[in-house]
Amino acid sequence: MKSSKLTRGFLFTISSILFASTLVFFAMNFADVSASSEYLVASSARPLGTIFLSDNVAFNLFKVLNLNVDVNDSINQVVLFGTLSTSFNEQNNLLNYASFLENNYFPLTPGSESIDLNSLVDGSAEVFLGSSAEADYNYNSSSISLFALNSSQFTSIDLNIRAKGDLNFLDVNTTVGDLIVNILYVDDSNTFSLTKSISSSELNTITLGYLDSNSIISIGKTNGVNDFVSIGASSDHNISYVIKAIYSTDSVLLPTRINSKMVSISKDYNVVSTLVLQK
Amino acid sequence: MNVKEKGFIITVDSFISTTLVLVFVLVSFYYLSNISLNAWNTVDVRTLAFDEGAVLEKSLALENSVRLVSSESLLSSLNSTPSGYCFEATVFDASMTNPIIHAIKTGCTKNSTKVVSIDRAFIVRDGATSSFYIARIDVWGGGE
Repeated sequence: MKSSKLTRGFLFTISSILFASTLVFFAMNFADVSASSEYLVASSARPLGTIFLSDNVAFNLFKVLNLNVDVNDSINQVVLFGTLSTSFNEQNNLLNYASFLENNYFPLTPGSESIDLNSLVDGSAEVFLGSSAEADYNYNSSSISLFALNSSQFTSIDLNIRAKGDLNFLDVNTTVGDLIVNILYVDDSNTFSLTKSISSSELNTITLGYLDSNSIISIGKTNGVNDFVSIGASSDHNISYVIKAIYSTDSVLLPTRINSKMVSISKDYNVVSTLVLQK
Repeated sequence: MNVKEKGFIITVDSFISTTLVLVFVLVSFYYLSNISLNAWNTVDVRTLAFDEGAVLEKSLALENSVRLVSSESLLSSLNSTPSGYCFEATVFDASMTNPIIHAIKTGCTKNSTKVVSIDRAFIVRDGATSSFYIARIDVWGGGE
């Protein structure tokens, strides 16, 4: 009996030691797992910098181009606004920006980044609106255009135009159709508004005539391109425009991307990203 | 086995087992004390810094601060950041040599050693020309 008590005592001792060693085993494993997950968290968070950098550069590029795009997919509306002027030198601004990135900004960021602006400095900046539409800003000829990529996408178009100078004549050359167009024009001396249902299957033009030159607004179908809306600036009339289009519910106009690519290289990853303004 | 021998064995047994259990507990504490949650905190703070940089640029607070040579728009945005974190924004020219505007969240003093810094480039467009600037956003735990 007494010997059995002694044996039970030993068993209790051994159980306690086993329990304590299990504690060590679990503590070691927990520490290992924590260290691994800490490394995982730290390494998976590294691309965060690239995402924000890409967002930053995209926003900057739109600023350099003086171009603003906003897609509100809850009300199926795309708004494009900016100023057209022959005195702007967008190409020079883009080259200065590329130099600033390379010499001043990218050296501050972790990893190695480079940007390819070749497709923007050629005189035209393209903005891809999802898979359904595109906006082209041709800064050499000071014109902005918005158009559908495949079938017809827009159901109504509003144009607000503010120009410097004095409108000399207005020539409206349109065909009646299904597309509702509202135009509000204001300059230093004149104001007019126009609401028309025009044909989206033909090219309609509205000419704003000044003493020195003309600005032409084109709406409709041209060269197989649907829902084409374009405003061309004439010399030094600083045309501020807002193009607002309502698109059909089956169109996809997000994300908005500018035609440029940024390359990020770090020890963990290499990323080639298209610059996205809005997701 | 007489009573004295049994007592000796029990004493030795309890001494060894108590020592071993203590050693095991201490080793466990050592491993547990090495566990760090710094990576999680740093990622959170870094995300906050990036977010605030984007907000400052997209709300035009950075641009307006340079145009008006005033930290008011920056301070207004910094004071709207989550409590428990301190934010500081400094605007530099393109060469990062001259600080132009500086703002720190109200109630914060920069005395932490765990400061996370990020940079955000922004543009101030004046007619036909564009000027380039860099904003440095510092974030650390603390504040009201």
